[in-house]
Amino acid sequence: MDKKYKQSNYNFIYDNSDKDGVIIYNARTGALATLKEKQYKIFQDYLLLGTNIEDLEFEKKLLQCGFLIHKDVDEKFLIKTGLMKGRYNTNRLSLTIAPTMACNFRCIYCFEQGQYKNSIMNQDTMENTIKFVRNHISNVKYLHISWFGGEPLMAMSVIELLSEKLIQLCEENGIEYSANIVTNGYLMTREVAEKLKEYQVKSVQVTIDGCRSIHDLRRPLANGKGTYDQIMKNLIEVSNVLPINIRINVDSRNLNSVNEVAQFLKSHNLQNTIYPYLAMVVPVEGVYQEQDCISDKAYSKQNIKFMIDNQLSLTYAYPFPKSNYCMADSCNGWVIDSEGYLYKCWCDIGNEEKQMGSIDSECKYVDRSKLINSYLEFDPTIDEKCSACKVLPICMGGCPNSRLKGQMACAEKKYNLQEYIIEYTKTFTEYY
Amino acid sequence: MEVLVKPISAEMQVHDCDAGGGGCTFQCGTFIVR
Repeated sequence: MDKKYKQSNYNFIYDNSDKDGVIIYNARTGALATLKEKQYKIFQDYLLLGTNIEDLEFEKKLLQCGFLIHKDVDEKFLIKTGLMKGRYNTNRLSLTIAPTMACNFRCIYCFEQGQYKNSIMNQDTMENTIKFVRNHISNVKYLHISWFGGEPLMAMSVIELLSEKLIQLCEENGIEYSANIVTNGYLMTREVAEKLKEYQVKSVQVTIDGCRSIHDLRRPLANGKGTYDQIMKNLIEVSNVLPINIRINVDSRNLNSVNEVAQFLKSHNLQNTIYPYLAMVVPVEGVYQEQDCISDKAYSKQNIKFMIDNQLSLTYAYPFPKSNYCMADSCNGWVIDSEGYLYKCWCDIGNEEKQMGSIDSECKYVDRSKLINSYLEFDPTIDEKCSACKVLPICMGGCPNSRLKGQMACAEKKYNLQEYIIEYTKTFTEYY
Repeated sequence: MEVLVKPISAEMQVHDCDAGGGGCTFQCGTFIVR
């Protein structure tokens, strides 16, 4: 029999025999479901033998979730369409703004070492930033700002002034505004957090690298003093003001200390308001050596173990499909440093070789079209390795900046999807 | 068949990813070190 439908290439099916069936996840649609053994057999019989699925409601659900697709559907074409739609979407303008390149920390692995400058953004650059936004919002419905640095809270006055003007500009033009901040947390007092909330900052990322002794060795102040106690004191004070994520940068030196951060949060009853997660330290030439870093595979295994061991919510880490990867491979994403220089990726900030131009009074660009193209042109749907990978829809080729450096940065879920999906399924209590 | 997570629409895919710096900082553990 000539079948009308076929199975998606992006189905992941895992044994769930304890519950008399299987778990099925689709990376292209993000759908997750459980099938009883009987239903799974009907699904398999259809695919292998062409036996009709008599239960039309069941067939409809399989189609809606994308587990089953029409035989003529080219899923890679759909993924590519989504990629282009996201990459060249002009509805949204995403800016990362560094109000200062100064930093009060001297982290041992920081890629910005050597880029620190003590000045904060001046009046002209602030005005040019507003002008830059005004010139780019004719089609924009959403403006997202990431406050970055240096340490952005060392230039709170700039955040306040720019936020006020940007929010006003958005209100005048019917644009939805949102912001987040990446900060070391040292200056994040309750008063500062309340101000940030007033300026529509929706989330805060702070980094803690393990217990006090390890963190203080890795993330000291510029004068060498420890920072752990002050950051933790601040987090306790602001945890009910703003949503906070704690990023724990891991490498071979602190891997054994990461659980202590989760334990600290638990002991202060903060496990439901502050969300910790692991991130990889990557080697930086002349700053941090490769032998101290862990592989992406080892990192993936550690991260899922960290979440499970510490009973953290798995919801935030759910593998939804992406269109494009990030602002660096999006036509409407820019990084602006405190002197008004433009970049595509915040990993490039402060690097003169990677500057795309300056938001001077005429908003002119330097001709770095080759560099811009290198971020925008990569197509994982035709790349030999990526196009053959089943996690393509949730990875989309990985970090564009790493790729340009010749490093593959595959999605974490490539290595821990099965473990994650099985654990996540268990969290649906009504199911269990 | 019990659907635990509904399929994400194409519109949401664009929205999710275009969160730009904010979205990817959190989702992609390898992205940035500071």
